[in-house]
Amino acid sequence: MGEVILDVKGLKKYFPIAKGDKKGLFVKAIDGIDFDIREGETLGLVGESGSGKSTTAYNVIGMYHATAGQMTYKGHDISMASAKRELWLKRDMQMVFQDPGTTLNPQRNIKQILSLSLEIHNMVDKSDPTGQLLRLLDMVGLPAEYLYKYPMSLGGGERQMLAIARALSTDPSMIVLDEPTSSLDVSVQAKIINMLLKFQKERNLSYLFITHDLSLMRNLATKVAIMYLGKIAEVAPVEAFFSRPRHPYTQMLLSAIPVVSEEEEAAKQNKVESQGEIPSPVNVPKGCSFNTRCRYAADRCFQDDPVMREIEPGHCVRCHLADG
Amino acid sequence: MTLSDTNRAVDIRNLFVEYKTYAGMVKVLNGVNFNVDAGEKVAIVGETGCGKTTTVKSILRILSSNSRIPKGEIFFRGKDVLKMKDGEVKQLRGAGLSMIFQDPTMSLNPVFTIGEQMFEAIRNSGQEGCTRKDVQQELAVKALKETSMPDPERILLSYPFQLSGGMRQRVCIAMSLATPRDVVIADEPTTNLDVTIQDQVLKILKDRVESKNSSLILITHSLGVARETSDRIYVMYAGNMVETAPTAELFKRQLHPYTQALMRCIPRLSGGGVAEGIPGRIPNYLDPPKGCRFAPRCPRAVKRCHEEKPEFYDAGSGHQAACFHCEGGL
Amino acid sequence: MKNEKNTIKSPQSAARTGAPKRDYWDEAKKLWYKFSLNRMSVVGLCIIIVILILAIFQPVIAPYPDHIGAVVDFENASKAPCADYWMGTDTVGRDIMSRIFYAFRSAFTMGLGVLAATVPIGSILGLVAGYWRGKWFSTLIMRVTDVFLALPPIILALCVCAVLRPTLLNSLLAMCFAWWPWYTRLTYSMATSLRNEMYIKSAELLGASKAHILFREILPNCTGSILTKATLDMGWVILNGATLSFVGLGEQPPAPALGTMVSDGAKYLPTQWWISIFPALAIMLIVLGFNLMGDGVKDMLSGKE
Repeated sequence: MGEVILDVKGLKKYFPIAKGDKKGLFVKAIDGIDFDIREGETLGLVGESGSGKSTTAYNVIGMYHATAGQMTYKGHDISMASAKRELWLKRDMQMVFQDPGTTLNPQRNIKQILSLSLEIHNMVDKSDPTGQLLRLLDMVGLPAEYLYKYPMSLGGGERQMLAIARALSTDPSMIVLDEPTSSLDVSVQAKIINMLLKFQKERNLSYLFITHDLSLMRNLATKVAIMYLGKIAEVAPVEAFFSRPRHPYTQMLLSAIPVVSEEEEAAKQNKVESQGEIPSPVNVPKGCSFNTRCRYAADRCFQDDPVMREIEPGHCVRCHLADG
Repeated sequence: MTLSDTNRAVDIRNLFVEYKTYAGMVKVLNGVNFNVDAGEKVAIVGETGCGKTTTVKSILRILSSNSRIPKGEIFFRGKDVLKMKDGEVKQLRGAGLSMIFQDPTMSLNPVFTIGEQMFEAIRNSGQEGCTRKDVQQELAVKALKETSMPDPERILLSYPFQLSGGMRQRVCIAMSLATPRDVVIADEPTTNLDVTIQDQVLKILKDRVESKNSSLILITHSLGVARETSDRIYVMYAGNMVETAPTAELFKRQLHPYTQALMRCIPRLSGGGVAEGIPGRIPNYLDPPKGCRFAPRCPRAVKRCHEEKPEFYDAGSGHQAACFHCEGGL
Repeated sequence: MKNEKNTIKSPQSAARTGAPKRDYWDEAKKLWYKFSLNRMSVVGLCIIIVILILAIFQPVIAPYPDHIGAVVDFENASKAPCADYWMGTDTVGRDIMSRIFYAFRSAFTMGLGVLAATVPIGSILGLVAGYWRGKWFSTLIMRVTDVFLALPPIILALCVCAVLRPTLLNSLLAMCFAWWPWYTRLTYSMATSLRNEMYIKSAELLGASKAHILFREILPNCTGSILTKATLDMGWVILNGATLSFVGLGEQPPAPALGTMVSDGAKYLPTQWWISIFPALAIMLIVLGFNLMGDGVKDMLSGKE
């Protein structure tokens, strides 16, 4: 395992509510999380909508200013928003968003889109600028004729490949991937995931992979963290995570996944029937935030908020009932 | 005789649908054969743009105005839907068929309460006493209770935006099954929902359809969802049904190269890496391949595949595949 | 695709041999196709083209090209439309048709001049105010805009013309005063919503400069609306310019202006109707032409495939 490249400690992000009868309260999108990513590693950050996983990605990349906490990237403090970060950080950390339709300017052609980051970071190959762009297109398997097309005339998968080419163009060390394949078909998803794995191997990239798809993480991540209501419920190396899930929420998520084979049914241990919905992050339940949906919830779970405990090396659970 | 067996709830035969656009005729459906028995739960699985939604829209006759049906028949309980008069179609939509959409915000009007919309649906069903307020209230409350909604009276008074996505979808299920239906069509009903909520909604949908003895046509892009919900599966590719089999049989063995490729692309919870994906892309419907539409991407394609369109070939135990490699059984 | 291994080994070859060229002709054809879907817009475009040809080639096309100045021909004064004078003559015997053709020139000068000055200024102010919404200079720009918007443009222009000498240039300036705030409002509201788009956010995250974001990322997404409004406004500016010349502020006699011709002829209504009706119809035709074109321009630039 390589060096720790990104280290997040006690990260919090609260959004104040400005209007309505809940004025003065806060949406606690992230409420104190710790994680780290090593060189060449993929951390899968999994959660339902409203769990705060995308907010975490936006904080890491600097779209938001963190409310509290410390983020360190290659030894440099990056707790501030993107506008105040040094330029090399914007080159070294890239992001690929969920919906490539909204992150590619519809009025700019592919040549303009791809050359932007190269120009900003002064990385244009002056002797052969067009060839440089064609090499980028070729790398993600897009034909050269696409150079003067507009994003709207591409298919969803092709747009996402373009977004990946843009992210890779500055030769980054880390890429934040926010559900890059969740709006795509499985056959296209497979192509993109393979491409991401190939680039990771070639360039020793680190990925922070945000997703709701645990089956995908099983085949992609080195480490998986489950988020629930702004907190990490369980984090473990991928093998341990899927073979010995300890948090009741993890068990519930795993049980709910529709699978296509008997081996997979067998891989789901401790079947827990899904019940309830994720509460609003404005009114987080007292005690353990999962107590409204947990079938094992005891008195203690309604009183005290559990703390993260390491039950085996690298495997941490935030549950009163998970014993070592 | 082309009259259909009345035991069949829906029977589509050799259906072609085209859309007229500025670039020319987009030939989407290319001779679809599809049937659902009374009380059967059938899933149509396919990727974006394969024509799943067009197929079910043509059953309800809600295709957009630039569409054309050059050929084909659609029987609903033995009657040809395409030959029905407008009044009959309206009755069909009110009482015989109902549809649940991917995005409940599309089918629920944001400016009316859930109650007002449910009462309207019950009134349109033409059931006995359905114009009476108390009957409507009673049926609506009962339907909501059956989808395990807490406090149905309060739900009836609330507006769609006051409910979560999962609740809205449950309201849609309650609404479409408040009165008896022959067929319920669900178009990607859980695609926008989280996996734990999806699990709950699918269970409720399955349970409701079974207890009302309706048929279900579930459209989904996920083989996993189809496996958990349906009795039989149709796999669709580029405007053709390429394979059909009882659910358990299909997951035991896949006959069509497309189904095989699709299965390999699904990331498994038990691990094992990610497959390469299917080379190429779906054909251009303006000028689709002449023979089998999967031939240009198919690893087993032979000369004949590029020239002739394969029909469904029977492979025993209700398993059929539209592939020349399955001709004459297996 | 077959030579995949080759391309990886010597990737430069792709650039040397088969670098694709941008096909401007094809892009233009697509734009024209989208415009031409709207039949009425094509009619509008034809009207404008015909009027432009008449204006530019007035000395060649008009039957009496010299009637634009202080020409007097009392023998043929106040003649009703006939074979020699298709639209009749005015009270001093000048051919009305030839004068209308020439007056189109000042009408177009007015329209183009006003828009050429106000569209860039108004749009840039709107972009800046919209992107930095909430900053003090944004508030300042928008409040000044609101003040100008509260005054009817024609009153504002009348005030300016009353202070300055009434010439075509001054009435043009006066119209500019009244016209820029509309574009500020338009781009302001577009920029405030566009700045939250993910593609703007991702350009910011890449470290793009403010100038790049304003003019290369946001502005291209506004041009469709700006040009549509500008097309419709051509008609409006010309109409307002005619109003100014109707009350005597604008192009001065003996040079013909559509508004002046209407107002001169108004005294002889209803008996010598042709003196004012034909210039009035000409004004109507220009405004109609631009309004019809507006819809097509909107469809053409809406970005839909």
